[in-house]
Amino acid sequence: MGIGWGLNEEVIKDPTTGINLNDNLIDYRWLTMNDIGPIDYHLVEGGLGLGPYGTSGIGECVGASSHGVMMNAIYNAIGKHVDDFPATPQKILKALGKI
Amino acid sequence: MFTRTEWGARFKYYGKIIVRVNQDGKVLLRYRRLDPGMMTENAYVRAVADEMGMKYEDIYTDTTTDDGNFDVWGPGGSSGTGTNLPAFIDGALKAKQKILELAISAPDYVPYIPFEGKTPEELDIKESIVFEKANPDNKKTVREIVQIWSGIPAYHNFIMHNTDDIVCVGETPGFGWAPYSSHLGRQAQFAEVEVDPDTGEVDVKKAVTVNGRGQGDKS
Repeated sequence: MGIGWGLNEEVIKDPTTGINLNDNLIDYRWLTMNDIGPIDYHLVEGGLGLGPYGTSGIGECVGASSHGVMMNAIYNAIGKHVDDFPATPQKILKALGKI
Repeated sequence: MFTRTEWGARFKYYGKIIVRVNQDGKVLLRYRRLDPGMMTENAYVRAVADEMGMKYEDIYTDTTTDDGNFDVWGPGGSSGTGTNLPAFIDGALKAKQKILELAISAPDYVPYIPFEGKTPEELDIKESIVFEKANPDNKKTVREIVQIWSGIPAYHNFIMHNTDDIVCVGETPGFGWAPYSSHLGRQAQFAEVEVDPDTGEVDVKKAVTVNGRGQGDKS
């Protein structure tokens, strides 16, 4: 989710009519399991959550700032800031002064 | 590349918590729960354990829903972790200092002083044990220190001193602008990417999300 927000997902609207031009999961470029590599989990049972058996959610974590760290990593790689989500190849080339 | 989300700090939110060292040497964390569903408790406990030198398992939490217990509280949701966590660090540092001060003295009816002639600066706490830095073999458990002051009959069979538990109030320092200011305290993110400078394509080599990280927030 965070990688998608950082690199792919973008709502594109017609500047004249305001109509959403990519209101489907193909043109919106939603990442699927085929787009990412294997996922490893390392669970440490803290037991302090308020859910059953001390469980708690972790879902928000990837969405809260993963997209931000993608932008920081790109800056670390190319030395230029891309300050607009998502960091598409076009925006990266623009940041590099190549287009 | 490591990043932190700095919500609470930038909006100058403020939170207040309680770190209480019980007479059995366990540490109770009381606070207003602000982040339902997430593993924020783990982050709080780890941060307090690190700051106080206590064992993780010697700390437990209690969420209050009583408005009367806290005159101010932080924002709800994730932002609340950004105010509570530095408040817990503040409370943990106060509680540790209090324990070290108690360790160099004792009530009149207790026949000995655990670290007589020492100063708090000469002592430290690790793994729930207070010890002399220059002589680590000179040590007492936090429980022993607290019990000396709590009136446990092991030290005086006839006098119940009934000293309160050690209660320290932690506050979000400097409204988020102190050295250990507010960050989204429950998580850390890392990413390794490769960028093709000719095409602009990004290849994400690794992405790591750590939840309930606790310490690392003090920076």
